[in-house]
Order: sequence, then structure tokens, then C-alpha cells
Amino acid sequence: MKIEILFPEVCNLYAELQNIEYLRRCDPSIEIIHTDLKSRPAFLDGGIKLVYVGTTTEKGQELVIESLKPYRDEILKAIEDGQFMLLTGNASEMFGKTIKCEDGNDIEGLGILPTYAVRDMMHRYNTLWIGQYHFDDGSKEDVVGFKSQFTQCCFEEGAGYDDEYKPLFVAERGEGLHPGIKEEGIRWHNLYMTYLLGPLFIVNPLFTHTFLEQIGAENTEIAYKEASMRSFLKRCKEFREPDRGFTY
Amino acid sequence: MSLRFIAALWLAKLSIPVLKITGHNGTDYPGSLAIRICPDFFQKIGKPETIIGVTGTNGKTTCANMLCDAFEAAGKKVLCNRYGSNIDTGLSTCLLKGATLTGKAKFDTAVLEIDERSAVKVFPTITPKYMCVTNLFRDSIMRNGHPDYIAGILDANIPPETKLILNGDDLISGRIALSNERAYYGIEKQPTDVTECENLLNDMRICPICGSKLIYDYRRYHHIGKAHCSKCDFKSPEYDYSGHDIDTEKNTIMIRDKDGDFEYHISNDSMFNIYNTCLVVALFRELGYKGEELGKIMESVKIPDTRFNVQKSGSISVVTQLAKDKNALAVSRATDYVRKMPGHKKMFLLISCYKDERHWSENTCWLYDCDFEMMNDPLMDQLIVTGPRAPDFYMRLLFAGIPEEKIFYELDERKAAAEFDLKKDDTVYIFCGIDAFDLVDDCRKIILKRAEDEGL
Ligand SMILES: [Zn+2]
Repeated sequence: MKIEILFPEVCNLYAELQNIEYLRRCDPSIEIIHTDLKSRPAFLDGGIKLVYVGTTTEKGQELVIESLKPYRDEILKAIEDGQFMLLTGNASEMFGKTIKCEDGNDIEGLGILPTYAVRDMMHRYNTLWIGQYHFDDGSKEDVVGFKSQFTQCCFEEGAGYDDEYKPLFVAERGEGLHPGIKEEGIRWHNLYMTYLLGPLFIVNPLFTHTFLEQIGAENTEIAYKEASMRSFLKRCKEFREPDRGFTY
Repeated sequence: MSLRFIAALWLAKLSIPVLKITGHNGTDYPGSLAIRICPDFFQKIGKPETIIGVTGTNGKTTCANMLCDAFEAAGKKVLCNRYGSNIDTGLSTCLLKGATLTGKAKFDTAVLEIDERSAVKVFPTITPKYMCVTNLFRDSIMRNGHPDYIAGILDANIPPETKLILNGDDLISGRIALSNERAYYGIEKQPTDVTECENLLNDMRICPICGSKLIYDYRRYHHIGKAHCSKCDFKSPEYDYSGHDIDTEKNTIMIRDKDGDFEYHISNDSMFNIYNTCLVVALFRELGYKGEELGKIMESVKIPDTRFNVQKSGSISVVTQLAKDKNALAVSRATDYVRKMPGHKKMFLLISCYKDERHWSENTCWLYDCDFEMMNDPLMDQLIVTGPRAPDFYMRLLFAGIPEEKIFYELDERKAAAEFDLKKDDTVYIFCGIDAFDLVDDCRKIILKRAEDEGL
């Protein structure tokens, strides 16, 4: 199975690329392909199971949009045809409609997701996060993570969570996609997006297993299972302690 | 002079001896008191005519101290914020200490360490004649975001009339405030340099002009080195102060500038500190000090080697290695240093962000930006993970490929110190942040005592 990392030269903040390295540790048959800003994404020509984009800088976001703009319609079609894609941290903002900036120089995104982001560079939003992933049969599993960002993401007017745009996770403690809601991230076709950092897979062995199953990995047993579960369970417990500060 | 300002100044000045008596020396209290009484105190207080600012992610305190020492050695009294903090309240404290009872500056020169994120608050009021920047790296994710963000803050706030003294080997900090006058210091190619990055942190991979891949002619570590674009004609700047021929036996470096090539003393051989020496030399040469004269001044500039401190008992050495929590760069520099040390070693990790632990929980992303892979080394015999974040460190070390049997796991730090495998001739490196000195001290004592008790 091939996983394509888009733009590792800029989308690499907060150790995000280790997410994909962890998937490969779980399933060593995974082959990782790196595509740079000057190249055509490989997944557009087929043969890629998962496309990954991680957090980048504000300048990086503009470079990514510029790089992907010529392929915008092809990307949209690939997603509608079921291409697996994972966007973590601020990566989804490039796929939304706009990134609104304080100085009024808003950045036009790819317009693939019906969302926009609002940047506030003077206020960094930091929070712990605990919630759940909901399975179709109604069962749930815990998910933990961190948010550390300058932006908040919202649905465009007229759009919102529905049967097509489902929340990826639901918060138990901490806010969802933006303060005031509990739904975190979006799952749309096979596109998964979330602001949770950690790196997400490394701090979430349960969800990593679920995700590996969903993308049809050969081996879905998680790597360093015991160690990863121990750290995960401790974090779940900590994040539920009522006197632990949560947002700052 | 408004009455309010004078009241603020006098009360703040009065608070200094009171704080001294109560053992609260070196706090920001006088400055914040003054600002509380007179909100524009920072603007109104008299400032030395020549202000030299020092900022950057790593090494700004060391550089500011070196600059003060150098001025002292040159026989010039300058104002320094050596013992205060580097944000607006700390700077106010420093300035009021350096002011007369009417609020006029007593010094004509000040060396001020300035926190890179405080630029927004500091620069509208202070216009440094020179701004020295050590480097910009990733720092705490929660406070600093990423280096490009910090570069943006400096860019937007450094006054246009300030001349910059910049690290020509750092393409992040080296490109701030591009329209300002500037001088670059740097260190020419070294035998230990590489071209491909050996570190996880590598934040300057593409050309800032055209976005194509950057090719490194030489790379010291992370993004520090000399690079050029694979497509356009962009390249690292030429050095105005070019360090070369580092002699670690004689403890000297040659630094070439437009007037010639001069020899300067370096007081320790870590590359980070040699860069600091280059910064100090560049600034003093800019101020007009002659090469030979400066050579003499630099001889008395000592760099306190805070990187480590060694204590011995029998055949056991315990090395305390400062590695700031949440700062992947600091820890990676430490792992790189330890891996290059000869002999068998053990690593005792006390970087659990104890300060955060009480009310908060640390964002652990940084652990995966840190070069723990460098500790996956045949000479690294055992790694002790302990403290509240031990499960995370355990997981991280496995991820780094370190065999399970080499990792000693114990949540209680003192118990860990008492129980890990200590053998004759062991060197134990304690990696610690700055928020757990008591704990570090206890653990070190336990290990040294074991050496004695167990006859090692
Ligand atoms: Zn270029």
C-alpha cells in the first residue's frame, strides 16, 4: 500500500510527519512517497491509498494552495471517487474556501471543503482535547490530542454537519471545530480532517487501529502496542481530571 | 515630568532594596509596579543613547552576558538586564535601575536581552542602535508556534533605523527586516559539516524566493549552514565577519573582516558558543573597536559552560546536561553532544515539564521533533525514563528504535535513581530542564551515594 505525503518540505510542523511513519511501523508493507511543491501529486494518477497533508506555516499554506490550484478539479473528483485523504492541524484550511486574515488580505483556498478559517496571529489557541470516535454501529472509542493554532475553522453559511459532512470526533472535554461546538473534524467521503495534534496516531493507538482497518492496511496491529496504550490510558485519565487546566 | 511618572519611578526604586531584603532580588516587580502606577512609564523612562538589543531562540542570554563582560573589559560601564527578565516589565525594571531620581539615563549604553515575542511591546518604545540576533529555531509549540512566526514578529516590529547583526548561517533569522542595514557573521566550512540534514528539525528546506529545493553547500546542524537555490540565483549571504580556523587546543578562532584577519579567544568549544563569540566580535567591530584591541578584550570574556556540570564519586561520573523542556532544538543539541562523547554512557531523563504538570498537561509533539534517534547507539547502555511523562518517553524511545531491554522505566524519579543498573565506570547524563533543579540535585546525590555504598 502506498501513502503519499504532500509537501513534506513545508507541511512538517509539530512532528506531523511522524504520523505516517507510525502507520508504516504498524504495517511495514506501507510505502511512503514524498511529493514536493513543484510536482504533480501522484495520487491524481492512481495507485495511492492515502494522501496525507500535515500542519504548515502561514506562508506554507499559501505555497500549498498555489501548488494545488491547477489540480483543484481533479482533486475534488478523486475525493468524490473515494480517495482516502487525511489532513491534520491547519492542513484542511488550504482545502476550504477562504483563510480570513486580520489585515483583510484574505487568502482564497481551493474551495473543496465548505469551510473557512479565521486567523488571529496575536492569540494562539492552546487546548488539551479528549473525546470519542463514533462507529456506525453506535459504539465509541476514546480519542485524545492537543490543539495549538492561530485559527478557528467554521462551515460556510448554508453548510454544516449533516449526512454528507460528518464530524470525525465528538469532544467530551475541549471544544470542537471551533469554540462553542462539540463536533471536531470532518469526515467527508474518505477525506478525514482534524485539528488534533499529538502526533494524532502516536497518541491514539485505538484510533490508529481503526484507521488502518478503514484504509485496508495489510497489518492493522499497532506498533509498540503496550507502550502506546500505557501512555494513551494515562493521558485519557489525566485529561479527565476536573482540576486540570484545559485551554490557555 | 508628570507627578505620576515621578511617583512611579520613586516607588519602584524604593521597592528594590525592600525586595532585596525579602530575598526577591531580580524580579520584574519594580518595573511592573511602575507600569501599574504610570501606564506609559516604559515610554517615559530615560533610555541610554546607544541601545544594543539581543534576541533569538537560543543563546541570547549568553550573548548578552558576553557583551556586558566585553564592555566591562573594555573599561566601559553599561546598563544590562542581566538579572531581570527580557520582557517589557523586566526591561522597565532595568531602565529604572539605570535612571537618576528624575528619570534620566545614567548610562550612555545599554545591552538588553529582548524576548523575541515581546518585540511588539518593546520596539515602539525602544529603538536599538544595533539588534543582534543569534538564531531562530522551533521553540515551545504553545508559545512560539514556529520560527517563521517569530521572524514575522521581528520583521514587523524592528525599527527601520536599527542596524542588524545577523547570523549569516541561519536563513531564518538572517532574513528578517530585509530593508534594514545589516552585517552578517558566520563560520566557514568545518570538517565536521554535512550536506544532508541529520536532524529531525530542518526548517529551511526551500528557497524563500522561488520555493525550489535548497542545496546546502555545508550544514552544521538543522538548518544552520550555507545554502543556495537549486533553480534561481538565491544563496546565503556573504559573511562580513567570517569565522575560520577554529583551534580547540589554543581556544582561538580567526575572524576575517574588511580590515583584515584577527585572532580571538573562544572560551569553550561548543559550536553554539563559537557563534556567540562571532556575534560579539561583529558587534564590537561595528562599534569601531580595532581588531587587535578587541582580541585582548575577548580574552577576558568567559562563557559559563551551562551545558553540563560533572560530579564524580569513585568511578562514576554524573553529568548534568541542560536540555530545556519543550524545546526540541535544545534537547537535540544535547543528544548530539552526548552521542559524540567517548565511552559507555547512560541517560537519565528528567525533562517532564514539571512546571506544566501541576495544572496543565504538556503538548508532547515536541518529543517527536527531538533527535532521540541519536541515542540509539551501541555506547548508550541504558536510558532511564521517569517522572510524570515517563510513558511518553518510553514510547518515544521505542519509536527511536532503542531496544526495550535498554530502557529502564520507573515513574518515581528518586526510586529510578536508586534502582537503575549502575556499573563501575559509568557516566550518567542527567537531561534536565530548568524547572526541576531540586529533583535533579536529589537524583544526582542518590546516584553518587550509590557509587560510594556499592563500592563502584
Ligand atoms: Zn530559488
